[in-house]
Amino acid sequence: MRLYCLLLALISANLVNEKVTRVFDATTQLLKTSASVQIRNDGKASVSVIQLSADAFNADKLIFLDAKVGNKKLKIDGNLKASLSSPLEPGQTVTLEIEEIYHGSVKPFPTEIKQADKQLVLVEVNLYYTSPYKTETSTAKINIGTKKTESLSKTGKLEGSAVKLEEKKDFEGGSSQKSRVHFENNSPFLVAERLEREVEVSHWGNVAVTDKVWVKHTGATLKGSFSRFDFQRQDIGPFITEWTMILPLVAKDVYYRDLIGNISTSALRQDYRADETVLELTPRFPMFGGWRNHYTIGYNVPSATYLSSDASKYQLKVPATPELYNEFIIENYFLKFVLPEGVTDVDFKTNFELERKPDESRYTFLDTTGRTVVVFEGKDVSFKHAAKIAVTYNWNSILIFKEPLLAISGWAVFFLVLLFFARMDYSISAPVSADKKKN
Amino acid sequence: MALSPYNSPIDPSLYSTLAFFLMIAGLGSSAYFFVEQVTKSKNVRSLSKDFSLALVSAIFMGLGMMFTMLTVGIYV
Amino acid sequence: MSNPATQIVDLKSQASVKAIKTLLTIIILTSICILGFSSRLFAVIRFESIIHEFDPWFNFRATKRLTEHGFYEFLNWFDERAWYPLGRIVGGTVYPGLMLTAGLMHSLSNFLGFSVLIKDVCVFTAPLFSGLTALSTYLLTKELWSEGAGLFSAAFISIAPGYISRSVAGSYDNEGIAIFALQFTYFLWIKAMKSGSIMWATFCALSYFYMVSAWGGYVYIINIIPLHIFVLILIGRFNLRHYTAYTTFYTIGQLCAMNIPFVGFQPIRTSEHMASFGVFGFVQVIAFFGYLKHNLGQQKMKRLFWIFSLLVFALGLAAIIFLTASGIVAPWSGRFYSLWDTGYARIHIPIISSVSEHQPTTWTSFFFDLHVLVAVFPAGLWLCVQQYDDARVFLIIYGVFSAYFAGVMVRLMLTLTPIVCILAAIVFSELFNRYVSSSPPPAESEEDESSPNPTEEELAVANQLRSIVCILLVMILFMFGTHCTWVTSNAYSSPSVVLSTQNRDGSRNILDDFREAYYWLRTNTPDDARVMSWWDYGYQIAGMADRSTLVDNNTWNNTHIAMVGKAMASNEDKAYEIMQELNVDYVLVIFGGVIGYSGDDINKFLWMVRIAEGEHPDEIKESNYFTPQGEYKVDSTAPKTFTESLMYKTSFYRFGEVDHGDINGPHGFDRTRNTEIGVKDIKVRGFYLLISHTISKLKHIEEAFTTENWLVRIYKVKPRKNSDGLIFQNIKSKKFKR
Repeated sequence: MRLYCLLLALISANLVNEKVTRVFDATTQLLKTSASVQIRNDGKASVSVIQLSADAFNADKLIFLDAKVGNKKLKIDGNLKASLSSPLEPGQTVTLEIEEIYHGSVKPFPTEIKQADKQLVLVEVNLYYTSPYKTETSTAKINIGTKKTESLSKTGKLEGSAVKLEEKKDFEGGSSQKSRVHFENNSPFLVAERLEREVEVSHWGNVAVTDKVWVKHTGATLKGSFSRFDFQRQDIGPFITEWTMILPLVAKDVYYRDLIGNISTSALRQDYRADETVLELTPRFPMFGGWRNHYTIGYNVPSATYLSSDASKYQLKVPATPELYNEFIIENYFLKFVLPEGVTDVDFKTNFELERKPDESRYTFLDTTGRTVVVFEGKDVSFKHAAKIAVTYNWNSILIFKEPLLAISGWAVFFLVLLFFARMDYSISAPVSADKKKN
Repeated sequence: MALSPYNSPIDPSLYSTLAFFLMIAGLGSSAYFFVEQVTKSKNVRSLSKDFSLALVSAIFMGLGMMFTMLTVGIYV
Repeated sequence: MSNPATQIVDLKSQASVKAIKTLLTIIILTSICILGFSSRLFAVIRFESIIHEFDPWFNFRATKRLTEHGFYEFLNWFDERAWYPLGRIVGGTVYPGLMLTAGLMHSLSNFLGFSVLIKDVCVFTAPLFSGLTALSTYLLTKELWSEGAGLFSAAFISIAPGYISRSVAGSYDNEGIAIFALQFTYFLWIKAMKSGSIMWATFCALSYFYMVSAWGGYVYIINIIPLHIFVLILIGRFNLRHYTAYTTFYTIGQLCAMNIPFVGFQPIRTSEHMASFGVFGFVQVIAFFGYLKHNLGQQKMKRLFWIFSLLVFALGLAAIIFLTASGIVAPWSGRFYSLWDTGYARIHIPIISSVSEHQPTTWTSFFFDLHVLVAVFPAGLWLCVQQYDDARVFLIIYGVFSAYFAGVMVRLMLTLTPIVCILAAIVFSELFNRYVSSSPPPAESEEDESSPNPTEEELAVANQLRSIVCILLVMILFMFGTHCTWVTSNAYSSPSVVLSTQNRDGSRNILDDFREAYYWLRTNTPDDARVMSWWDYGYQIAGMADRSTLVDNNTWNNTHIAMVGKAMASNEDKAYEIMQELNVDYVLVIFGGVIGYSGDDINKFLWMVRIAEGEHPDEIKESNYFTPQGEYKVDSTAPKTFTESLMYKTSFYRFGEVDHGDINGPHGFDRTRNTEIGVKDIKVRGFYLLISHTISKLKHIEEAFTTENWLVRIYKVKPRKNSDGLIFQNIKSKKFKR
């Protein structure tokens, strides 16, 4: 990593970070960075691509990176190269607002705690601004949300509920020094290990969405016993007792259940101002470190919300993930679209990385040939992705008559069979009148 | 491509009324069909009447069943 | 009246009357079926569509296995997650009829394009079959009496609480389909017996086969039908039709019955089936002599006939007694023997007597389950005796024996309900016949001195009386209907997996503790974890938590259950030895002291002790768990053996600190037993008071999970420390070895 940065620094040594201010937010399970970087082009050529990099000690935990100039978002490719909309002339400066999110940087330490213990976490960041270019001034602040720390590296100072790191001037690109803070963090460490989303489309005016969620508490693991008595007297702690899920405003018939039945501890209300339905979920049992849970949420949405059509072309636009809870992280993601029978030419468009798997077939009510199931798989989706997906397909609208005709023909077969059996002659010997007639 | 939101051919709020009336008609004609088959002797029945009654019953029962399914939430 | 025109009119009106009658019958029967189905849906509407109680969870799990793996996998299934470490041969120890019925309905509906879940099929199997039961009861009563009585009996059985208690939606148990099979078999038997046709007798045998596959209560059929034949022989009404019917039924029925793996060779090897076998032989002898008499003439045979038949009967009886005494034929099994000798089970098989369903029936249960029918049915019995024929003798026998058995065990109220419905229906039908029609009663006025033509006044008075009686009868029936619905709604519609209480403002407060604990077990313990609990909860743990259990509701191995009981009743060290032997990972107890739930393990504890004492009389003595005065208490007078037992410690761990929200009230107040517990440590405003004995501390187990209302408490068994607490250090590799 260091060599690469050095190399890059040698190649593009004409950009200079004039002033860098970083604010870290470590109050939740995610480490969020918002940095304001003022870059000056010291070279002779105009530059339209700027190399960004993640924090040196948290690079593998980066799940989201965003850069803005003014209010316009920059395009960032896989190697974290940001393309400017207008090239930076020599001598000009441009200010980038960079937002990064790391998952796994706020590490619980110790990793196992007893029920009564507080959860302490460790955050390690680079004292210097990680960049392939030279930096002139860099300041950093870590918001930790509490007024005391367990330990602090010498390069930082506690001010109120934030740790102010030393101001560094004039350092080369690629410099790094670890700064760590060890403090108390009782925010919910909830991660959705797995999400299976299924969207079933019916041309009778309904889209049914089902979300199967496997969650885990990824904070410090609970060691020893869980005492309900102590828990009922605990006000704050690293346990998770409820979270809020956001559904579309027009969602109806919402159900919340799991493998063994309905879960009754939830509250649903419609928030007309925010144009959403708020579902406050309480799991069956409070979640402590290392505990897992699994539940299913399902609801119906009128087709006009997601489905639009033009003659026999249809487009289904859905948010790819539900808003599971505040700042949700999904590790493994599976998406299935169950399309009506007789669709052809299925195609899709997304705004995040998704892998399409081979189509499957599903037989449900009044089906003959089976419904097409389009399967997708993804990894590491978070709330910041605002993931959307649009599926397009062709469907002949005359096929809407298939289901009524199937039901009618089923009943017709039943009645005709009855008719047939009622007219059959069951006697073993010939009828008496016929014999008499013969005689 | 001018995409407009897709609405079902029949307004979903009508599903329950439709289901109710179709099922009543279907059950009524099925009951008439059964009673006809059970009580009348073989000579009196006419095949064409039986067929038409069966067809009418099948149409009403089939449509009624489908709209009942749509009303209760099984969107076929 | 031989005018052809009037004849045609008569025929037409006859045909239209018949048509109207048939239409009415169909409509009434359809509404009865719908009524029976909807009356059973209270639990589904109030809570959700879920399997209730304990046994249905095993049936559900077995049905799931059937639908997922196929018929032969199910028949050969060896369940290694039950009765750890013994396992259970499910295929050979279960009556497969219920699972096959539900599985068949599931595959049929899926084939027709209705993709219903197996859970929903299982929940609604019993209500569906209640409609079929009503139909078969109608057919049976129509054969025995009249169509009007048939309709009454169908209506009664569709709402009678005695039957509803075992067939609500969610109660997925054998009785749900077995009562239908019972009634249908009886109907086919009456049909076969009356007509003497082999076809009907074969159908009866096949229906009997279905009954054998569905329920262990088939023993009832195979004893009542031979008894019927025997009584017919005794009263001299035995004829060739009965002979044909019984012979066909017995041979085909028994051969079919032996195909069920669980039944196996029992029909020729156990005492419960010997009655039918004996009657079968006897019937052959009688028929043979009838044949001889027919061919050789009456005079010679009469005396010989009777002497010989008595001789054969005595010989047969002696043979059966000899075989039973020598052990070739097994004696009556404990479950059925305890029906005759009611004190037997309490002494010898405490498990059978500990089940609440096996307690003797009280008078209130009779009224609760049957209301006015139980008062009316003796009149029906009398009517059958008064106007008896071959078929009605069967009703008399069925009624008398059912009444006896229902008095022995609460559970057998279920077998009484169908016959009570039939007999009461006969009474009501006769009453309505007599009082509704305005024509005078036939045949009795011959002996009357009064003139055959009543005056106008007498007619008017008679009409008034008639309408009063009819109105009274209708009111009684209304009250019956209301009572049945009330009983169903309040007493028999509780899923018992979910509890609910009502708040002061009338809203319902749901206590979902059981599912909370089972789901915690399911998601937060390793897949091969073994849970030790009392056998009541075994099926639920296996079904909902999907974990291996040590003992469950099948109760087939008394020794294993006694071991678990011994572990619960011993102190922690001894219990730990047993738990290590059995590889137990978690201990699960039910504790109702916080909310006042009376079905918890402390209330069942004495049964654990008794069962353990049955197998280990030297180590466990029931008297050690009582106070010096001989009472069973959990307060400070409780003896040391009790307070140090695993059950006491796991139930009351940390409970002494609970104050139910009232700081100045008593701490550790057990709401179920309405007393403060004896062993606790109390914190009183910073002071630390020790009360008697030792602080309740657990040595070998630690609390893993307790539910919100403390109903279910799960403890983890700690792994064994090295002796003397030393940790062995491997010097070479510098690794710590435990």
